[in-house]
Amino acid sequence: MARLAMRDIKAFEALYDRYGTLVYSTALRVVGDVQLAEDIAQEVFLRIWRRPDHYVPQRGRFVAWLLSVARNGAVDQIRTRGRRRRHETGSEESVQDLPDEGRDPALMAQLADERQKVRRALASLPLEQRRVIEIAYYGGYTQQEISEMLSQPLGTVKTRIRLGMQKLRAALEPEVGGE
Amino acid sequence: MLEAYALGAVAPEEGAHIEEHLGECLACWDHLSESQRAAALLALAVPLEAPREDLRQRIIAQAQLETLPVASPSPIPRGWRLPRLVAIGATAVALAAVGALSWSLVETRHLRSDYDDIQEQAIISAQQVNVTRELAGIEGQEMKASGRAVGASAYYMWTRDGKQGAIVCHDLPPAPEGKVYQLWITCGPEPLNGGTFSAGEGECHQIVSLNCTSQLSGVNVSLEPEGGSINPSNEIVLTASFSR
Repeated sequence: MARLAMRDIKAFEALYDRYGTLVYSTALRVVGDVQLAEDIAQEVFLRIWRRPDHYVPQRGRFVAWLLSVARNGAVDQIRTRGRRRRHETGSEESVQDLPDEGRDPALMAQLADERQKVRRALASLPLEQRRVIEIAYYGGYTQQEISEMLSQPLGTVKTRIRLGMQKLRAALEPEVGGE
Repeated sequence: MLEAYALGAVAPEEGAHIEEHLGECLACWDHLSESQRAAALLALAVPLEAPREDLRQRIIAQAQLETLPVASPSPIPRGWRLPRLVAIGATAVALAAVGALSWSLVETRHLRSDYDDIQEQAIISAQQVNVTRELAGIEGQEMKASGRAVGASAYYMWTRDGKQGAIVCHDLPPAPEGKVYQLWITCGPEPLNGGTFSAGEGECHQIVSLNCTSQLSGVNVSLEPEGGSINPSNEIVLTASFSR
C-alpha cells in the first residue's frame, strides 16, 4: 500500500493481478451481471488507487477489507437498480481454484487455503442457517425481507442468522480473532 | 442482532438502535468486530470466474490517466480547529494552489505564503475571504444541511476553470460506525464520485479534481457504507445547487 501511495503503477498492476479475480467474482456473485460486475471491480480498484489510505491495517486484513468494499458496492448497486437475480445456495460445486498465472504463489496458496476453510465452514452449517446467511450476505437482504421471501417467521430468521454466524466465527476462529 | 448487523441484514432503524447501544458497550464492540471479520471472509467462498482481460487493461489505463488523486486531503492539519472563515479562506488558497497547475512557481509560492500567513494569524474577515477568492478565480456557495448533518455548516468552492473543487465543513457529526460521508459532484447527467471523508472532530476539508468545465450544477454529501458507493444513496445530508 505504501507503493500505491507513491503512485507506483506496477504496484497497482500487481494488486489487480492478485485480487482482480476475487473482487470481480464477489461482485458477480452479488449482481449476477457481467458488465455491472466489471464496473464495480473497476470502481473498487480505482478507489484504492485514488485513496490507498482508506485501508486501515489496524481494522483487519487487506483481503477482507477489499472484498467487503466489493460486496458492499455490489449490494448498493442491486439496491439502487433493483434485484436482478435469485440468490440460491449450493454454489460450492462450481468453486474453482484461484488463477496463478505467474502471480504470487505463496499468497495464492494462502488464499486458496483460506477459501477452503471458509467453504468448509459454510458447508458445515445446517442448510437453513447457511441459506439465510448467504441470502443476507450475497443478496443484501435484511432479515425482514428474508422472512417475507422465505415465508418464515422473522424470529426464526433472526435465530438462524445468529446461530449460523456464531458457528462460522467459531469455525474460522484463527482467521477471525487476533487481527 | 450483532451478527445480523455484521452481515448488513438489519433495517436502518434497527441499525440506529444497535449503533446507539454500541456506544455504551465495549464488549459488544469486540463481539461485533469478530462477527464482521467472519462476514468479510464469506466473500472468499464465492465461485471464481475470471474477468475479461480487457478489464485489466481498462483499469490500469484509467489509473495511469489519473496522475492526481480524485480526492485528497487538504494540507490543513487534521483536527486543527480554525475559525470558520479562516478555514474557508485557507482552503480557498489551498484550492487555488492545487488547481492552478499552469501558474508559475513564483505565484504558487506566493499563495503558499498567503496560506501560511492565514494559519499563523488565525484571523481573517469575510471581506478578505472574498478578495482571496476573487483573486484566485474561485467561486463558492454555502450548503444546506439536513438529517444527521442538521446543525453543521458547510461551504463548497470551485475554480472557475472547472478543474478543482473543495468542501469545508464544521460541526458535522462523525459518520455512524460502518459508514462514511461521500461527496458527489453533479456535472452532466450522472453524479461524479468526489471521494469519502469521515469528518474527524466535526471538521472536513476535502479537495477534489472535477474535470467539469461545464454544467457544474450541484454538490451533495451522502452517508454511504464504509469504502464508499458507486452511486449516492438516498441519505443526502448536505446539498448545494448552483448555476455557472
